[in-house]
Amino acid sequence: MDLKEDIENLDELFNKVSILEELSQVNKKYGYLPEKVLRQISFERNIPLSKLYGLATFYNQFKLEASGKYVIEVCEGTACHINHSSELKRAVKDVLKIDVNQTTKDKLFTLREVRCLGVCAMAPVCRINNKIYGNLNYNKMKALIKEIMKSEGNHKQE
Amino acid sequence: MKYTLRICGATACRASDSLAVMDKLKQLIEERKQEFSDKGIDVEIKEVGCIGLCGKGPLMVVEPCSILYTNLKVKDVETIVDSLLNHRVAENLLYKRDNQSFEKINDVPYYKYQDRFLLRRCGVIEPLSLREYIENDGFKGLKRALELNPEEVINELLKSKLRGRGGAGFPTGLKWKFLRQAQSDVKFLVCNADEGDPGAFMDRSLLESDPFAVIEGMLIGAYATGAKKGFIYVREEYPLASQRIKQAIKILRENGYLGENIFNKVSFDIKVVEGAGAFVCGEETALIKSIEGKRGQPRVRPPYPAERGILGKPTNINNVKTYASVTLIFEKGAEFFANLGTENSGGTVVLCLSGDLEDTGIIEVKMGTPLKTVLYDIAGGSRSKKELKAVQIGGPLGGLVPKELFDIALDYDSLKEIGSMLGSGGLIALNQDDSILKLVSFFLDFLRLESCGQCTPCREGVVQLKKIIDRIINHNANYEDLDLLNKLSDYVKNNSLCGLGQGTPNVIESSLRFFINEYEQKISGPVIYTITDACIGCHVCAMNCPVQAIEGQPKEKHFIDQSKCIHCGKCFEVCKFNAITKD
Repeated sequence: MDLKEDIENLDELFNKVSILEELSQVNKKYGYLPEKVLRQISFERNIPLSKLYGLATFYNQFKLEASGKYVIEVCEGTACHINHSSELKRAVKDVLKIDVNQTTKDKLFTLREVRCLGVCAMAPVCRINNKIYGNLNYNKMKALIKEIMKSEGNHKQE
Repeated sequence: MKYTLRICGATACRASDSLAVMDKLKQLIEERKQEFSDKGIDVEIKEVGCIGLCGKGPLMVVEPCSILYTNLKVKDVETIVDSLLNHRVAENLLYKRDNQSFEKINDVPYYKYQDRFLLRRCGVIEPLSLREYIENDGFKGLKRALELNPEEVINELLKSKLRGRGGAGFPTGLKWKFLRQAQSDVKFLVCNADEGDPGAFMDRSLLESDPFAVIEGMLIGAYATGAKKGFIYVREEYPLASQRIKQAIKILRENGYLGENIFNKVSFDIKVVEGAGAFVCGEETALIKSIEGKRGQPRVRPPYPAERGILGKPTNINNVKTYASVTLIFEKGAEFFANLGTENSGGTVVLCLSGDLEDTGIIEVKMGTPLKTVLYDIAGGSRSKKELKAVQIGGPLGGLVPKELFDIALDYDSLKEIGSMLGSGGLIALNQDDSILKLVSFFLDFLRLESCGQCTPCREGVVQLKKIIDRIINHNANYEDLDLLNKLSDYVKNNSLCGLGQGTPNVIESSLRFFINEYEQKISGPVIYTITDACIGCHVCAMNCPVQAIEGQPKEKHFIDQSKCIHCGKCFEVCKFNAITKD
């Protein structure tokens, strides 16, 4: 690399949006990476689609399938795990009849597991659309979901 | 008379609605403005960073008398307002331990035994107030560092005995020296805030509560090493931390603390890069690739990042706490910092307490403080009042400390001696009911999913390790499996490419060393069946039990009398509700 190229690369890295950041923005906007958008980025940036797929599957944050309106992310960090985060998942399963990485038929709820949210002192915790709820248990989790269902009106249990 | 109310607005307290409490307080004080002015009382409400006792949030401290209120609810606001008007303490909101209440924050046992230096401004200042930061010794360290020449800065750092707070514990001064010596026109500094270890959250807390201190440390680093550009790599699970640090950078740029010719001595600017959720990106070479926008797969070292880092340019990577420590060192002096610690490592240890402890949250103690002081004096022992069996320390790559060794000093070398590590400082307390094997299985599952997949020992080895552990947990193993476990652990440790694979066997080795009895119980002991809360009381198990060991009223949860149980497994087979567990 000559000096000019170095400076260009540096400028690129520091001032422009890296491919990872762009994917992140798309993922935040749509809740997942739609194939159409990926194809467009691939075309615009002249990066093979396979490379983008490689990135999308490497990082946990990226999803390739659309999620529901409410994404319930149950923390699976160590502290939550030993404080029975499995009970929270059981509550979701009992109320919504969905398993991890599944979405209800009315596209309202998606259940996910998430790596440590860093709120271990209040374990077990879950995050629903960026709001964190702490010190949960089976019954509190059930109540939380039912409250959302109520606010959404007539969500039918599948 | 003026009262200042400091309310915690960091992630944990926000999760228990501290912002709602704050809004209600503001509203009520506004409504009763007249009463306050009649009595000549002035009230200021400040949203501060993490106060530290996250398990009892939302927290509030009333100044000037430093009274700590815990577990606040919106309905308590009225009590608080009344107490302020009457210059009284709201007794029912005070911190209590063993039926004793404590008024002043520094009398509360959780704080009394701590030495808060890195966390000195956390929960005290408004995180994004540059004025408050400067009033509380901000930029003192930078100014002192700029009076020295870069070599002297590095020498001072070596004298302070600061070791990298990310886990490995490499002397920071040496790392900086390597970067300084590297021949290149372009050099980078990186702050690693990819705090992926489950159970550790102090980096998040520091960035949320005292972001300027981290940046000040990076500025000192830039001056000492000659780097002109820096990156802060924050994990995406920490939206508030990422937002705060971005705002802090903006404020510093506007005020001439970042950019060209800062104090006419140093030019430095920082970009925040958000991770996308990959544990392995905490490894420095993986982190570099992630910053470059690639898959975060580690590469073989050497060359070390100080030679070839971002874009092939010399790069230095330090943890959030390391940079914050640098700030402290130059503010208080290398000698002061070194004296806080042990012979081989200076400073303090920041720990995140979670698990079965009365008080959980973030604490800071001098390096070398005994573990039992932390567990019993600071955290108040087990919350469930069961006996603590062990602590797991240092995240998935760390190890276990059994209760027999609770006297151990918390520092890099002592923990290494027993096959554990300080790591990122996440400390999870386990009680007698927690299964060590299930914890091991949990970690292996975590690491199996987080393995980047490029080297076979880690990608395949961890899967097999997990299979063996699960076989043992399910009573399907024999003693040969223990040998196999040992051999495979060794193999994965010695042949993996990066720290993730090499560290994976730590928790297995540590559990084999201290809890071999739990392995043996699973291999040669009887299967223990228990009924969980999922039991609906259908009574089918009781009817099928050949020795009438199951008791319970219809439609109520049933119980197995372990003294009668012959471990035949009939109940497990007939239960249609998955309400019986094998252990």
